[in-house]
Amino acid sequence: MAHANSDKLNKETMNEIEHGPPEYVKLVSADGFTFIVEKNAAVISQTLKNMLSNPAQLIESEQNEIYFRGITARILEHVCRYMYYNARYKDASTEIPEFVLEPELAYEVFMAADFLKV
Amino acid sequence: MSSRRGGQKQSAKKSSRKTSPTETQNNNTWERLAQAIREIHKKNASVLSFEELYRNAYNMVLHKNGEKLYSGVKDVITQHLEEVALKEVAPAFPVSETSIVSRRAASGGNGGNFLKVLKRVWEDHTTCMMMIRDILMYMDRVYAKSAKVALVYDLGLELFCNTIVRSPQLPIQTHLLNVLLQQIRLERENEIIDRSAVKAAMNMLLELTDSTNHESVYAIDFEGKFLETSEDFYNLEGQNLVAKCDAPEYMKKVENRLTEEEQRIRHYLSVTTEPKIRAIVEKQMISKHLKTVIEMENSGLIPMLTNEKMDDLARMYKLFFRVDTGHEEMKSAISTHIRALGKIINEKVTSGATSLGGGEGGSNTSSANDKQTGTAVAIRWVQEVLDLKDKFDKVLSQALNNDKAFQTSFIEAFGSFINDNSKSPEFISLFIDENLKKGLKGKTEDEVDSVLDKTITLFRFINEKDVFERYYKQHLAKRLLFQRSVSDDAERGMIAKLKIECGYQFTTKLEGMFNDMRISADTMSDFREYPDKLGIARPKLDLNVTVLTSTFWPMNLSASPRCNFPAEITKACDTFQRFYLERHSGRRLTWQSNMGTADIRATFKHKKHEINVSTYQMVILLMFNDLPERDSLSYEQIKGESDIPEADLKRNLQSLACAKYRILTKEPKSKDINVNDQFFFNNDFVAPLQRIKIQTVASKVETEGERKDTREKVEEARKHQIEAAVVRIMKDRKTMEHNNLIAEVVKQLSSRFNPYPGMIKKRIEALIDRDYLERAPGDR
Repeated sequence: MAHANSDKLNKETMNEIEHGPPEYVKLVSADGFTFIVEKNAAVISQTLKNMLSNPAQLIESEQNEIYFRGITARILEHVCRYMYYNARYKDASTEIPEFVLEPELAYEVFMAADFLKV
Repeated sequence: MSSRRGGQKQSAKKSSRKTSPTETQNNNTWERLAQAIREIHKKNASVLSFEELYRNAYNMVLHKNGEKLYSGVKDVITQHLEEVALKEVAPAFPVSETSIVSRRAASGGNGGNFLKVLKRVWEDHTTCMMMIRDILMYMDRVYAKSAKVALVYDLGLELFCNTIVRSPQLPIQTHLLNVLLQQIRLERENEIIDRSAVKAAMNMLLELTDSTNHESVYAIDFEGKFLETSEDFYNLEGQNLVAKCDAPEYMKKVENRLTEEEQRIRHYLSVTTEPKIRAIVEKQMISKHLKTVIEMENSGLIPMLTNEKMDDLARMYKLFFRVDTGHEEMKSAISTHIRALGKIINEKVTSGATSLGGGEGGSNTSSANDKQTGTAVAIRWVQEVLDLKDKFDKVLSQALNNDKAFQTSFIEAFGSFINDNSKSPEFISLFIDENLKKGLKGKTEDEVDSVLDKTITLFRFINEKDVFERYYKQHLAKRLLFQRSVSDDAERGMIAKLKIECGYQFTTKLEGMFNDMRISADTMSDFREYPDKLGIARPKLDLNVTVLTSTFWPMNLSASPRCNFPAEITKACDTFQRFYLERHSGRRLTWQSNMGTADIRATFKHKKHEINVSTYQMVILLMFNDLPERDSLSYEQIKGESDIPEADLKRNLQSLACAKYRILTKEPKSKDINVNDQFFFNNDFVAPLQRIKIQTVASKVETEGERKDTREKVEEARKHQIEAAVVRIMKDRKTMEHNNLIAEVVKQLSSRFNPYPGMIKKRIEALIDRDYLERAPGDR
């Protein structure tokens, strides 16, 4: 058991060595809430990816902070949840649980998704 | 989601308060975007917020102002590029053409500078465009698709192409192309250029596409000019090198040029150009000078072959493979060379043979020496042909990649000169004879095999295989009867090989000969017990008879040579004849006295010797038995008493009286036998060995008369074969057109010889005369 554990640990550390420590980005909603999201998960949004990796180093990529003046915390939360959901299951071979979304929010979340190109 | 909500509010406002505030808002948004793009162009991007710009673009598109955004962006970029063209690219123009030619090295650097500027401008532009693309991603996704216009990045490329590379105001395009071509030219002249700058420019040209036909600017503007200048360059280069270098050097240079061009392609040109430039080099450097290189004196194809320059040959093979007629030319040149060499070999033989023929024609008493050289000529001929074959086999395997086409043409060439020599079947058979007789002594089985294999390859070349068969039969008969054959296995091996080459039919008779030998051995062991059974006195001599089936053996029955045997021998022969006919009734035995040998014991003054002689020689020697010592027999006497044919008699007397062992002496002494000679028994004969063998002259190159004879026999045999073939075919087909019949006959017989149509026609007529065939009714 101990052996297996150390093995797992090794794997994680290896992962870290290979990819560097996980980077985080700050996403700030229009109403001032801050979400801190792992960068790997965030870049499934083409828009976010462009913002963070633009060759000319715009403000966002320098500070690793993005202010969304068009998205409220309620929606952004769902977006973040979806990012992690996607990061977790995109390569999964097991059955993928449904992404739960309250119907009354769906429209706005979809708008945000369109904006972010998720 | 304030933006959405705002949008809702706006649309609510729109419906109630007209559009003007929305428009001003839109104008504001656009102004900010345009400003941002200008900042990006100034490389001031870090003050901008991506989110804000993105959101602005998003809003504009969302509010159906995509078109305005798109054209606005286009204008801003165009403006920027025009400025760049004027301020950055134009000052870097290289100095004018004329001075470039005069100061090449300097202008090279100048051109390089121009390229660098262009490269920088291009890189800046692409970076900016990437940024702009990212910011306007929403426009690309939503507006550009639905409006069916180019994505913003492609738009940027197009603008770059039209405003900078193909600038209508400034001669950028001409300069660019000139500089590029010049750089390549410099590199071809072994100068070092900045490949990365050239590569960048090439990549730029490759990435830019012409808006009308969607081909890259590279393909449209550059490639054609490049190929044109290359053609000129290599045309000149080819002419220069051909005049300056010898063939191997020239080929090396061409090879280098080819690899250079290939590398150039790999390093900074488009792969699509590769086949085109290769074709140019091949055409200008190889096709055009093909003949010249092949025929170069002292270094062309022929000297390479003579000196066995395998590397050069292989290079030539590889290079010439690139062009259509290359291998054709090479092949025909080599073939001609082979034919020429073969002709030389053939001529050596005929010159040797004519000197020989002169001796024979004169007195019809050719000396053993002449005969020897005759055989030597034959063997030398075969050996030389074999050497030549070996050499070209080596060339084929080492330099020509065992190319089948070359092989065929080689075989044709060999075939043609071998068949030019009408004696080749005889020579080859003689060669085999010589090898099976003596040559194989002390050789291992493998060596034997390889010698025979080689000979078979020559045999394959012969058209007149039936002539060969006849000679082979004659030689084999002599080997078997005189027990000259070194190894039975080798003989059988040879026959097996012939069988593989020509089939069962070809070798049945040869195998029959072997069979006869075996049966005769059995018969003889029975015969030895025969006198005891019958109670007859044993004859005073051992008789060993080989019974030959007349159809298998090449002896002529009707002309079986006469010879009067001494009484004792005649008696022994009769006994055997009785014995044999008792066992096989209805057969006829004819004695072939010219084919036998005898061991006789002779008592000389000093010593007794056992002498191995031919039957004729025995008959001659036995005559001296009854003679008082010191008495002589004249030529006429011997001839009259023995009845031996004159030619044979002379030959045998010669070997008894004039060769190494002189059992007889003759008066007057000379090398040749004359009609007036007197012969004495040489009582003083001394020899170091107890057993001696009198060499009879046998199995040598034929005299002219014999050759004619053989020829006639072969012709006769061919007649039968043609008739047989005609009958065979007609039995099968019943009716056939004359020409088809002839073609079929030729096809069937071509493995043995090439019949002339005229000959076939005659045979068909003969068959019609004899009622084997008839003309179809209503025909002629």
